[in-house]
Amino acid sequence: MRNTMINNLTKSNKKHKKQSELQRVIKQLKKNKIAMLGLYILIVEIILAALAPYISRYGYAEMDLTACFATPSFKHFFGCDDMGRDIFSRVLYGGRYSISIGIIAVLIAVVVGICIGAVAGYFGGQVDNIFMRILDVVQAIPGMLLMIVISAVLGPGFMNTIIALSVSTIPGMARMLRAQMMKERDSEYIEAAKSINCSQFSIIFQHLLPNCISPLIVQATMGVAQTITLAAGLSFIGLGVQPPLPEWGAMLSAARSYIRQSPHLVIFPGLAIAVTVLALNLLGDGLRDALDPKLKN
Amino acid sequence: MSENEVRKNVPFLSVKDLVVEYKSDGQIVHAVNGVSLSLEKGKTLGLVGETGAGKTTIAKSILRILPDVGAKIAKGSISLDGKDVLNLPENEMRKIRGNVVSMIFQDPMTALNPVQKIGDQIAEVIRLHSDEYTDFEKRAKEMLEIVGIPAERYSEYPHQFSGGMKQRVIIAIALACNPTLLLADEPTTALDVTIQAQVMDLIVDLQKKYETALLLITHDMGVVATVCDDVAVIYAGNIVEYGTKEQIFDHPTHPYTIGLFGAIPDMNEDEIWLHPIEGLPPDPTNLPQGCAFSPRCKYAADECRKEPISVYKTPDGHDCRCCRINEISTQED
Amino acid sequence: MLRYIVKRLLWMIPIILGVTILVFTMMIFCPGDPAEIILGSTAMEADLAAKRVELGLDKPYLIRLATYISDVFFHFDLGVSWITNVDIMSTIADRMPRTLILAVVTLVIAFGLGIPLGITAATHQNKWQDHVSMVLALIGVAIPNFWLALLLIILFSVKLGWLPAMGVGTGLAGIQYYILPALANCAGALANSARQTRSAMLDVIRADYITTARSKGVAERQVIIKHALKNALLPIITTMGISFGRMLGGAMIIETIFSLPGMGSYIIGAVNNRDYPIVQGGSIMLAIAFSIAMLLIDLLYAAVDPRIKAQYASSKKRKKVKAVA
Repeated sequence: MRNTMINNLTKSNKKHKKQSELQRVIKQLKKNKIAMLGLYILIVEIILAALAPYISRYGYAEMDLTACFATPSFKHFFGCDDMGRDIFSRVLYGGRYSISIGIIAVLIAVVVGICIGAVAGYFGGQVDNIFMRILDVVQAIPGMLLMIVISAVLGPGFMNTIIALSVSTIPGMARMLRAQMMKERDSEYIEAAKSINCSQFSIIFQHLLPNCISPLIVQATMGVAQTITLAAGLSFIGLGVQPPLPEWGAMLSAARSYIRQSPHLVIFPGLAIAVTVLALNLLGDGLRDALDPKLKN
Repeated sequence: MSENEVRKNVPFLSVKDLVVEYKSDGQIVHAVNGVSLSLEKGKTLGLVGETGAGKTTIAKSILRILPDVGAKIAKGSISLDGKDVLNLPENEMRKIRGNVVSMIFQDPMTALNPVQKIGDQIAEVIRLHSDEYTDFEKRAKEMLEIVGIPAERYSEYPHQFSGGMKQRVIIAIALACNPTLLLADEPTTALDVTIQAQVMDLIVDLQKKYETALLLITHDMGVVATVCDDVAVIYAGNIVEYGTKEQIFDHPTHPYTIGLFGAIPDMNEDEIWLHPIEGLPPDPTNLPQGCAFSPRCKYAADECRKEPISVYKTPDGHDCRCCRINEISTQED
Repeated sequence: MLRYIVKRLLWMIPIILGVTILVFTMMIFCPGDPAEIILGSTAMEADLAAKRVELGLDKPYLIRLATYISDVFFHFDLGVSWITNVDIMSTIADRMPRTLILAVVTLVIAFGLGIPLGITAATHQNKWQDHVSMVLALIGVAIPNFWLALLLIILFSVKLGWLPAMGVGTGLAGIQYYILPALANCAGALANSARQTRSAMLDVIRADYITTARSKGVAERQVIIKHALKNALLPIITTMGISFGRMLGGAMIIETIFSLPGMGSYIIGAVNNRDYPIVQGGSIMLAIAFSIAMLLIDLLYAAVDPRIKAQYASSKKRKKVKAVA
């Protein structure tokens, strides 16, 4: 308690405050064992995906027709699929696609969302009205449906999946940022900035944005989790990343036909999605608690 | 005091050696540290002290409505009309709450349920307890009129009321079942100055009318002077001085009480400076050894910092928790 | 209240119009020549040209848009399927109820179980009930619904043989076809609603008016249900709209897994066949259904929160001015 008071006192020294705020958040996060577990799982997953060629003994497209539908063993940890491809390798390589789709799509959505939300939230009035009515229209289409329509227009593929995902993530980001902006817009430090003749650009991006960033970070973390699920869903119905690329959803889609004979084909890619999403949610919960002590129960 | 007198004046409320602790983040907050007090039917006891001194905790302990996460009554006893409150089963306790003992809260803005009609909030307490009134709505409307709100506003919601009006509603809830004891926790602190007197007058009028005992928690010495029979001054969870209003006001003895009076502007003298008490109240997770006030006390000596201070009788016969009362009285005169 | 409902219904018109324009415009950029999709790649150039004229593809964009809008809103005509030549509106009338039933049933299950679970967790904060429900909720949030659907099929259809893995039935026996899809679709929302209920309840339980209720002698059960829950419902209801959107989206994928002939399998099938009028019309109809659901949720919110209700009653004029502007 006293520490935060002191932090507030040193607010005038902006750099110092930023430093100590970041340190406080990291310290808080480190104390939260569950959140750290999520973080460690993610780090391990990213390393496994990045080093997939060095870890796995088989390439993701390498077929061994003698091992079709092989069940898990020491030779093939997760077994083999219908074409005798090693599922463990495919899950590792798949992480590259799934995780990067999630992160890139959310990054794009964050950047565009910041621009829309910041402009609408800061200027208000007509500008805000126009943006919000457009978002109203976009959000009247359920997210999954919007993604399906966009995929129909653009066709399937890695980049197109990312575009479809980020377009449907933008409205949520923009709205949240706008609400934050409107809350902060009338604060005294903004009046102070205006009184010393800061440009509007600098007010928005240097003064307002840093104060709206906490909920954005949390939403972005959770957003990556959700985007990974959605991307897998899109690939699952055949509109996202296409086989033979080992994206997790696409793997599940292919495994569906063999569900009666070889359920292990279905288990592991889905487990990979679930573990990744779980880890991201754990981290997101921890970040929320660390960034906003008020919300902590 | 003869045996006979004692029996006649058996206090309705009696708190003995009450110790209440909160656990928070692995630390123990010592909120109340051995408080004893008593209150007779129809009388008023003022509980005076700074924010955080443990006044509200005492009131909530009497009703056993402390937040159940972490709060614990560690020691002591509370009895109402001879009944041991702390060992009553929960369903017995419910019959006391709102019926025999009721409470007025500090912040009327948040003390009413925002999604329930105010009339229903009054009627609820009547429905729960009263055999006397069969028409709950009628009685609730009666109560509204008693506290000065037109009965037509029965069906309105809290957001349609001002702070003063909300506090009136809360008073109506508290008094709807003619309680024997009313706990008023800083009932006017959150209100506009102009409304404060009105609400306080309303409480006192109704208290006189229904002969309710009143435990008034406040930090306003002016209110204490006009309303109370007895006064207990509380500091860091302990009563430091306890006597009748006259005793406390005429002969304040504890350095903290003296300090409190020093912080009130005197209308008869042309004072330029008030005399605030130096320093801050102690951290309740880490109370000083001995007298909790010793770090801020100009009379403090080594003996104050050693062990818990016991209660001494002052020359006019009231209680004071200070081992140096003799030295202080000579210095003050 | 009635005026509010009418106003909200009127407000839906520009939104739906916007959705129509948006979807129509996007679909123009779909790959492939419509005439060729309809007639096949072996068709003669003359036939193709005639088909293009018949479809109105030779006309400018704005005329085509205006024709489409007037067809949809004045003649309730979404056109015919390019592949099967079947009327789209009547197919949707046939399929839409199944998707809505699936979405509504899963919403009811999710909140019907999620709210009590969240309350239990909140009232037993940091005890085993809390930990167990929150671990379950975390897992529930993490499991993708289509994977859960596959797992449920493996367990209940393949291994145990209790429930059918695909298709639809009629009458009471038809319910069994909805059990697995509903289970698969509700897990995530159930977990979410449990988490939200828990945190909303924890906020509310600390409120002063809960202490007031206790001090009145209200029994703990009643304190939770009558005083705390009604207030905690407000933030929960606001998230219901988002949940319903996800339910609809989830239902679309789930339908394709269980071969349930609803809107999802209809639209996704159409995308794969490049049968774009179906995608276009289906999206507009789903958006209308979604907008109506959002309206109902807003009304529910107003019914629970007197402050919102009062706002609609007192500031009608001000709001109208704002909406026009």
